[in-house]
Amino acid sequence: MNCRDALRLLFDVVDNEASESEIKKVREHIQSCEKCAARYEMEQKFKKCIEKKGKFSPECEKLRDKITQQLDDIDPGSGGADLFPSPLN
Amino acid sequence: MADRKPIVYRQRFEKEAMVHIDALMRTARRMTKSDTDAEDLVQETMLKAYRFFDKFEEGTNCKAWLFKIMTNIFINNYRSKSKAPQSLTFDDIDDSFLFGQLAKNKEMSDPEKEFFSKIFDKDVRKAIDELPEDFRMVVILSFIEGFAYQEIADITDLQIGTVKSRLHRGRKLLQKALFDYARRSGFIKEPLN
Repeated sequence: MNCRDALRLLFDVVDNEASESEIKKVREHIQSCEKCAARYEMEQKFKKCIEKKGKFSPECEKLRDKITQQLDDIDPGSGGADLFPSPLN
Repeated sequence: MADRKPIVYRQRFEKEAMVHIDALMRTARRMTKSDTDAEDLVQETMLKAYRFFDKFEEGTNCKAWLFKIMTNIFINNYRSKSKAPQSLTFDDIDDSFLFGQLAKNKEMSDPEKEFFSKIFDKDVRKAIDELPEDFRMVVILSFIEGFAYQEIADITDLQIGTVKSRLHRGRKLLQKALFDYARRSGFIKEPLN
């Protein structure tokens, strides 16, 4: 594999879409090519950075309650406490 | 009510679908850029999903199924009505723009490390928000939610080739935007040409 082929597969590999054999060939190439190795490393870091910093945990407790309430309204008796009727009753 | 769903239907929905509210909300927020619209979108998505939950094939990817419903509603009801032609010059951006800029920065000992450790979360989110909508969607689905190309194609009703090219352009734009933020914040120096 030459640099051109290695770069053609760059994003498939980074995005986890490349086949086993493609990954193997790329790995062989970057072991002997510093420039391609550096590029692969940077693109992988970039992707991880976006995932880590772009991913936030939204506050959705209220929304969850609201949706649960709406499901209860659509289907009364399908959720909530009615699922577990008290054995004492 | 005549068409009341059986209890197991609701239980299955709670177990398989409700757990994805966080991911839906996170993506809805990035798609609509508004907390109120995002909540409305997720709510609409969940109610529709509940109504059609018998169409969901057990054992398949519920998250992807929910995202498809949400994306449809978003495209039909929330997408900015005036789709102004996007006069962006992203094709001018070199494929290896960020790599090149970081590599030729000889004034810093490890510009790449500086870049990735110092870039702010808020700048990453802002850069995503500022992507043109078509690119933003695939970037979020791939980078943030971790869907595969084929899953993104199914969710967005696009050809897999279109998904790849939008992702490619989206990635370039994101790299350019973040590099500009880094330079403005001053932790990456302008390389001397």
